[in-house]
Amino acid sequence: MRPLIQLALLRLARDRAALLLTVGTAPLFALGYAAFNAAPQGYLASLLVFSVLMSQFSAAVAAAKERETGTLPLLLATPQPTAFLAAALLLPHLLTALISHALTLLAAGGTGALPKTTPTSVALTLAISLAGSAASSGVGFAVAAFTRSLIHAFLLTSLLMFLQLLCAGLLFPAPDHPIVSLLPTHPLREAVAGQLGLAPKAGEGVARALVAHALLMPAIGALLLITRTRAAVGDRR
Amino acid sequence: MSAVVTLRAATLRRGGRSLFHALDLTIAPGSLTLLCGDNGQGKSSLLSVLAGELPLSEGSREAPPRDRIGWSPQQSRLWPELTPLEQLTLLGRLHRSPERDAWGRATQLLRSAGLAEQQHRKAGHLSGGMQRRLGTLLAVMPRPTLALLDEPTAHLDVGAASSMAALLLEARDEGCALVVATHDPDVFVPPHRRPADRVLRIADGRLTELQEPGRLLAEATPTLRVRGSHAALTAVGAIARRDGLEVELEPARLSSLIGIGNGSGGGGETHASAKTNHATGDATGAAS
Repeated sequence: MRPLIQLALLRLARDRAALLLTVGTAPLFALGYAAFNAAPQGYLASLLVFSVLMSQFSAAVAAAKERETGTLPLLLATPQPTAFLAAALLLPHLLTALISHALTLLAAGGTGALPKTTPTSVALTLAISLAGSAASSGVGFAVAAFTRSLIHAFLLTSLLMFLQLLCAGLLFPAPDHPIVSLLPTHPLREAVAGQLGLAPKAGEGVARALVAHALLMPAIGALLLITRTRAAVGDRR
Repeated sequence: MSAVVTLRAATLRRGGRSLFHALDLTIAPGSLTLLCGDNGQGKSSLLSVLAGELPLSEGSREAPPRDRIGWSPQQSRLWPELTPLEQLTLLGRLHRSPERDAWGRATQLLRSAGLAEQQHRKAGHLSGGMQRRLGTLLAVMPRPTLALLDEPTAHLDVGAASSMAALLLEARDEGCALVVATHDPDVFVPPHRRPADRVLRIADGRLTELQEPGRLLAEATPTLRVRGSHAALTAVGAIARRDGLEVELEPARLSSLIGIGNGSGGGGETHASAKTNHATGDATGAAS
């Protein structure tokens, strides 16, 4: 496991431009938005959901690129257990998401956008956002597993992100259909808004959905990516 | 002797075209198999089939597990953000070598391939030829049972190609079966040949084993391009003669083959061409 983690961290640290863009977009938006708006606190839940969706985008693009350039098959041809490989795929996206969400909350706090919160609710917001990013990364891996090239992954994940944004109740009221509740953004926004005091606290059902999404989606996404890549290179373990 | 990889009645069709038909192939452990042929005849496809990346249309394939196969396709598979030393060491460790052993082997391979000075540069910043060499090193780093290498000496200068060939032959001597698709068979053939080694030619969907690699050299008509002063050309001629080649300089022909720049002591452009004849007379070619 150690060399896998080392490989993931080295690669994350070396691509500074990608790292800065992934980590910095949401916090910079938080700072910029606060500079031009007198009462900015209402935007934060939406911004965190958007930041969570960035994990889906970065996971899909990074995994599709690795498939296309052949470094993923190279990694999968090592005798490492599948669970370790899946964890190593997920780790960089969780780390960047953690830093990005933490910086976003810090920027929001610094600009007065967290008036009704306690340290506990901020920590819970961070944990909820991280769980959302784990689920979102899983969707990104699944997208990469079913697309043949980087450009296809880019286009498909853009479409999915757009649909999730529309269905999350960020821009319009969330559609009242059971399938919408299956999307990771649906319970996420409710839970984040509840913790930030922007809406009533979310119930147990939402918490359960969040945990289920956070555990199942990355596992399913990474497994799909690994098995489909192995099958494509003739390695049917 | 047991086979490392076997194809039986292997047929591959792609895009409505049959690349090869009912082909049988057995690769012995610790052997070198050179796969030659013109562009588009199916060398890379055959390697992909051996690697398991292309499923056969008909027939069967028996091969070691994927983690025992070193595979270097034409498009090198590298992590561009990592240095050559990092990626080789990490790959060794991912194949369960202790850290110290992996580092030792990585530095030794980089030295042998002439990449020691580049070992701390990001792979994405290396030249195409250096990336090619690194791709080959990644294939042999985990000491695979079978290494499949697609044009490992393409785009390399003569010295680098010889170093890579020597490094690969060392891997063969350690027991790795090498299958190398190449347009430069002369880099690998005599004086390095062993009894189990073979030169195969793929053409029109068929594999032909060449009993005399020299025949291949004759058919391939290899051309050596040398850029330098008249003095440099004379020196190259002397080295070629020492290796048993007869060198004949034909100044009038060279300008039509290559343009040769001014060398250090030449003072003005020098144009010359050379024709080589193998000492045994079984191969001829043109060198300029």
